[in-house]
Amino acid sequence: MSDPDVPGDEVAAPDQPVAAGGGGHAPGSGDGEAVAPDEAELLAAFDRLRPQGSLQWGFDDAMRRIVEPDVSSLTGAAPWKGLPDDLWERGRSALIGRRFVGDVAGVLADLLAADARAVAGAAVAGVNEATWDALRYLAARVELLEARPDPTRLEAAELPVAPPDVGEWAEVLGSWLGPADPEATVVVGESGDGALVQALHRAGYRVRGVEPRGTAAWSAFASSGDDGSSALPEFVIGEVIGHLRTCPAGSAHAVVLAGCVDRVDLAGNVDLLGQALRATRVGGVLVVLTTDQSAWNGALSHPARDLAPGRPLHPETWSLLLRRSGAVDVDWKRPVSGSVHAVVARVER
Amino acid sequence: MTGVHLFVPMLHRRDAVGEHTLALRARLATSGLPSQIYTELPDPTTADETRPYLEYESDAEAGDVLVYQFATDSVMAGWLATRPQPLVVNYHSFTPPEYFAPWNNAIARLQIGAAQRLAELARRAALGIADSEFIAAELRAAGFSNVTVVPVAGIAPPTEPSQGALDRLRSRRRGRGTAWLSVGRWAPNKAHHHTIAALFVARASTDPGATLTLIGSPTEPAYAAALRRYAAALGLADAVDFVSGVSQDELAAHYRTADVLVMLSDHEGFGVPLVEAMGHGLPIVAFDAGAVHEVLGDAGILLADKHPRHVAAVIAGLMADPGRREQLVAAGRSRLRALDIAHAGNHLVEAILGVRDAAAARR
Repeated sequence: MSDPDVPGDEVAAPDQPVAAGGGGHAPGSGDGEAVAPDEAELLAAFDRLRPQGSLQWGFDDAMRRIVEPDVSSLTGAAPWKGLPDDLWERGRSALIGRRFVGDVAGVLADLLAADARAVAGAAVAGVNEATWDALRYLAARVELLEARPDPTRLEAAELPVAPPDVGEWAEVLGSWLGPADPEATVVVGESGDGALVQALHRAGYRVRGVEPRGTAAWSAFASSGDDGSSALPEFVIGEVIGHLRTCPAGSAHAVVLAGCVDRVDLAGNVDLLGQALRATRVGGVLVVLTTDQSAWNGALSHPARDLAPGRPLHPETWSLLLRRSGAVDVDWKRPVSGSVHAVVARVER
Repeated sequence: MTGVHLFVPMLHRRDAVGEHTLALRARLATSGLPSQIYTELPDPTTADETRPYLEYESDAEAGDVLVYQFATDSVMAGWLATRPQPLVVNYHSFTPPEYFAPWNNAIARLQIGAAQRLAELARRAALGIADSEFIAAELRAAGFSNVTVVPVAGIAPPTEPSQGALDRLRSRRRGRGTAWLSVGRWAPNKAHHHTIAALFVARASTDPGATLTLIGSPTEPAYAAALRRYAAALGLADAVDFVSGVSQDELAAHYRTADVLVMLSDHEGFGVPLVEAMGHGLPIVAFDAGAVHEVLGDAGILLADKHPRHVAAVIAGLMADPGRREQLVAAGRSRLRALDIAHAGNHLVEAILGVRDAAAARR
C-alpha cells in the first residue's frame, strides 16, 4: 500500500521551541517536498548531539589511510602480461643457449622492475592523496573552530589597561638592588616606556628591558640614546614569561616584574614568579610592581573587569607567595604619589 | 561423518542472526545432517553450544560444507577464505559505515573492513544466500556470481502473550493517545530519532496523548544516549519508553497492546519486526528503505518520505480509519503466508545441499 496523499502542511506546526542553531537534516528521499524550517530545526537538534562530526570522521579516516595504506588494492597494479612476443626471436638468434637465457633474464628483469615501479608509484599516490585529504579535513575543522563565537573574548578596546605608571619607583629602584655588577643583567619586564630601564642604566646597571608591545619597546630604545657608556640598555620584544624561560638559571642580577603581573591569571603569575626566581642569582633581588586593585578596578568597565583573564594581586598576596617560594627579606613598599605597590625580596637558596 | 557446519563471529540469543543460525542448525539436524556451530568469540549464554572456529581444523572431514553467517567483519572470514571445503556465505547485510561514522569511528572502520571481507569471500564462495533481493544486490556488487534469496529463518511464529504480560502493559498505558511501537537495535541506521521527532509533532498537533515504546538494545551507546537526551529535550521523557532485554512473552505483549508499528530505518537488510508485527495483527507504517518494500508488500503504509509532520499525519489518518487498519491487518496475514517464513529453513537447507551435491559431483 503506497504512501497516502497527506500533505505535510495539513498538520499544525509544533509550537514548542527547540534549541537554536544551524544545520538541517532532511529525512527520506521525498518527492520534492521541502522541509519546513521548524521541522529542519527539530531534526538538526538531534544532529547536534552527535559526538563526532563528519569532518572528524573524514580526518580520522584519512589519517588511517596514511598510517595503514591499503596494500591490497595494489595487487595487479602492473599485471603480468606474459612473455614478450619477441622472446623466441631473440633466443633463435642466439648461437648458444646461454645467450637465450641471458636475454630472457634481461627481459624479465625489465618487466619486474616496471611492475615494482608501478606498484611503488600507486602506493605513494595513495598515501599522498590521504595526506592531502587529512590536511583538507584538518583545515576545515580549524576553520570551524575559528568561526566559533567566543562571547567571553575581550577586544583590546574593551580592556583599556594602560601600562602601569611606575615613575615614582624609577630613581629609588637602584637602591634596592645592591651594588651594580657589570657582568650581570637586571631584567625589567615589562619595560613599558623605558623609564625604569633608563634609570637603572644611569645608576650603572647592565639592563635588559622586555616588552611585548613593539611600539613601546622601539620608542624606549630610541630614547635610550648613546651616552658613550660601554653597555647600552638592551630591549627585547616579547612576552616576559617567554624571555625568562630562555634565561640561564641564576644569570640575572635582579628581575623587575611590572605590567605583566597585572594582566595574567593566578597560574600565570605563579609561573612568572617561578621563572623569575630561577633566573635570579643567589643574593639577587626580585621586585614586583603591582597595580593597586582599586585603581585597576576604577579604570575598567564592569564587563571588562568580569571578563578580564587576570587582575592584579594584592601586595600582601605577593609577599606571601614570595615567602612561600623561598625568598627572604620581603618588603612591601606603598606608593606615595602613584598607584603601584612595590614588593621587594632577596633570592636565597 | 560429513556435515554442514555453521560459522558465526558470536552466537547471541534474541538476535536475528543468532536465532537464524540456531534455527538453521535445528533444521539441518531434522534432515539428519550433523552440524556444529563454530564462533570467533564465545557468548557466555551460548558457549556450551559452540566451539572455537580454529578447532574445525582438527574436526574437518572430506565432504563438509561450511556456511558463514555474514553480518560484520571478522578474522574468521579471512580464515574461511583459505579453507578447501565448499563455502556458502549466508549474508544478512552490514550497516554501511557512513551511518556509524558520526557516532563511532571504530565501528565505521569495522564496517569498511566488512565490505573488503565480503569481496574477499566472493572469490571463494560457491554460493551467496541473501535475506532479501535488496541485499542480494550487495552480494552481486561484491563479486558473488552465484546468489539466491531466502528469508531469515529464525523468526519465531507469533505466540499468544500471557495475560500477566498484557495486564502489566495495559495498566502502564498512559492516557488515551495512540501507542506507537518501534522495534530494532538502537543504532544510527535505524533512525529512531526520526520516530521521536514525528511523535513530538503528533503530540503537538493531533494526538497530545501519543506515546512511543522503543524496544531494542543499545548497539551504539552514544546514539542510544543521544536518543534519550533528544526525547528529554523535546519534553517527551514521559512519553517515550526505552525498553531492553524483553522476553518473547513481553515482546508479544508489546505487539498486542500497541496501536501501530513505526519503522523509519534508513537501511534495512530484511526487517524482522515487520514480520513480527504482521503475525501479531499490528498495522505498520514504514519508511521505504532497503528491503522494507520487499518484505512489507501491501501489508502496511509505505512512506516515500519521513518528515516528522508527514509521519504524524499518516499515523493520525490511520488511527481515524478503523476500516483501513483492519484492511492492513488482513493484508499482513496474507503477506505473511506469501513470505513463507515457516519454510525458510527448508529452502536454506536445499540451497546448501545443492552446493554439497555439486561439489561431490566434481570429485
